Amino acid sequence: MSSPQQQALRRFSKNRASVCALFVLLTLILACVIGPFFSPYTHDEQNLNLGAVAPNAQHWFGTDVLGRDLLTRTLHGGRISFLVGIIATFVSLTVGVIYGTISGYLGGRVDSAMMRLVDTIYALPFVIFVILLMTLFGRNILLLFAAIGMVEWLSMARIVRGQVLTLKQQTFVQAARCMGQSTTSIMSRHLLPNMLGIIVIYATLTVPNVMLLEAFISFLGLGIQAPNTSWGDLIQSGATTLETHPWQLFFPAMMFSLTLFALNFLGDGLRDAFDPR
Amino acid sequence: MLKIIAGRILQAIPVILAIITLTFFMVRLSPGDPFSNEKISAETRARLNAHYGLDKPLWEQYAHYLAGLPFGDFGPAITHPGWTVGELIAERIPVSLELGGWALLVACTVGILAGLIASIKPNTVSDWLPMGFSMIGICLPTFVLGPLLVLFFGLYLEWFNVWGWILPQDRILPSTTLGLCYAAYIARLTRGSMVEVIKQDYIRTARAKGVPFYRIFSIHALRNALPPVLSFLGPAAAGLVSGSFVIETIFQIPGLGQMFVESALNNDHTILMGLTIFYGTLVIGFNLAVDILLTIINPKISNQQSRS
Repeated sequence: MSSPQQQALRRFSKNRASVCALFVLLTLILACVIGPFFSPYTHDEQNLNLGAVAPNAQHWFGTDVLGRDLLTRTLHGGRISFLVGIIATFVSLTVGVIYGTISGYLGGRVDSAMMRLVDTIYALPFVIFVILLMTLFGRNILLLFAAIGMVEWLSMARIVRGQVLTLKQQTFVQAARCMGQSTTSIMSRHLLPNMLGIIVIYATLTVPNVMLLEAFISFLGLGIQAPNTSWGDLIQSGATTLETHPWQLFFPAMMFSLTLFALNFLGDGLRDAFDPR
Repeated sequence: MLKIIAGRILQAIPVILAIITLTFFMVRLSPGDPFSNEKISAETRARLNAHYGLDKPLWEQYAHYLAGLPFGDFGPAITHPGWTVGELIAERIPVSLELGGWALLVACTVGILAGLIASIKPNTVSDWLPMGFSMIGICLPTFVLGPLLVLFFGLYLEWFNVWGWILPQDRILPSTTLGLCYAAYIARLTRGSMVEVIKQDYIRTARAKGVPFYRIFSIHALRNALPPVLSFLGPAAAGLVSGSFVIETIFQIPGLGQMFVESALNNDHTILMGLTIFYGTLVIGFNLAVDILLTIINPKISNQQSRS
C-alpha cells in the first residue's frame, strides 16, 4: 500500500499535459532567473545608434526602439512578473488561510458575518480599487504586491473555510478538543496540515491570476515604472510599435501566454491528482 | 418572492455606501491635493481651496458630496474648469455602454454555442476543439489578444480600421476582443453544467418518450444548465469594466475606460473618485439584476431563501 500523497503523485505523473506544463514552467523560471547573468547586455543598456533591429544572431529577440536587447529585457521582465506572482500569492495565501480557518472553525454568527464580508468584497470591481490605490499612494512595487495580494485572498478564504467545516467534524479534531488543546494549536497542528494539499493546488491556480493582474496594471502604465520592466510593460510597448516592429510584441506576449498556459495546466493537473472526484 | 427581491435591494445599499465612503476617504487622506502639481502661490492655493470647499472640515465635505450623489452630482472637475465630473461621465457613457453591450452579446452567443457543441459528445473531437480554443481564450488576456487581432485583421488583411470609434464596422474588432475572453469562461461553464444536467433522470424520461434529440438538448437541458452561466454574468460585468480599460486604450475609443486610465496616469483625483463610485454602483447594480433574474427563473433558490 502507498500513502495518499504517493498515489496522488503517481496520478499526477501519468497526466502527460501537466508534467509537460511543469517542465515548461521550470524552464521558463530558470531562464528568467539565470538567463540575464549570461547575457552580454543589461536590461537598461541603451544603444541609440542601433535603434530597433529585427531578431538576429547578436540579438535573438531583436531590440527595442532605444536599442535595448529584447531577450535580456524579456527575461528580466519575467523575473519581476514571477516575483510579483509568487509574493502576491503568498500574501493572499496567508490572509486567506487565516481568515478562512478562523471563520470555518468558529462557525455560527462569526462565520456568517465573516463570509458576508467576503461575498461583499467579491462583488466589488476590485481592479478599480487596485488602480486607485496605485494612483493615490505612488507607483510602488511593494504596494503593488500588497494590493494584488489583498484582492486575491477571497477565493482562498472560501475554499479553506469549506475544508475546515468538514474537518472540524472529524473525530481527531474532537479528540484534540477533549484533551484540552487550545483553539490556536488545533488550527495550526491539526487543521492546517490536513489542508496543505488543497492550499498548494489553489495557490498554483492563484499565481496566473496574480500575474495577469500585474500585467494588466503594468500594461496601463500604472504598475512597474521604467527603466524597470515586466511582461505587461513590455507587451504595452510592443503594442504601440506593432506596425513597424511586430517582434517587440510577439516575444513578450509569447512568453507571458506560455507561462499562463503552463500554470493553468499545472493547477488543473494537481487538482485532478490530489482531489479526484 | 417580492420579499426576497426587496431584501436583495436593501442589502446592496450599504455596499454602495461603503464604496462611496471608502473611496472618498482614500482619496482625501492620500498625500497630495489637486493643486500640488501647479506652481502657484500660497494665497492662490488658499483661494482655490476655499472656492472648491476644500478648506472645510472633512466630515462636512463628505456630507456635501454624499448629498449630491443621488442627483448625479459628483462635484466639479477641478482639472476641467467649467465642467462637472457628472457631465464628463455622462458625455462618455453611451460609447462605453455600446462597447460593453456588444461585448456581452459576443461573449454569451459564442460562449453558450461553443459550450453546447462541446457537451453533445463529451471527450471527442467536437469537445476538445471548442474546449481547446477556450483554454487559449483564458490564457490570452485582452491586452495580448487585442494587438494580435489588430495585427492580423487591421494591418495584414486591412479589413478594419486599427483604431477609432466612428464607422459602424469600427465596433467589430474591439467588441470581439473584449467579448471573446469571457466567451471562453462561459463556454467552459456551459459545457460543465450541460454535462451534469444531461445525466439527470428527467432527460432520460424525455428521451424514452421519444422527444427529438435537438429538442431535449436545446430546451429541456439548456434551461436547467443556464443558471450557473447566468450567475457568472455578475463577475463578468466587473471583468468587462476592467477589460474596457485595456480595449479603449488600445483602440483609442473615447469612453469611460479611457477617461479612467488617463485620469489615473494624470493623478486626477476628482474624476477618479467619481468614476470609481460610478463603476462600483454599476457593477453592484448589475449583480443585483442578475440575482433577481436568477430568483425569478429558479424557484429552487426562492424557496430556499424564504424558508431560511
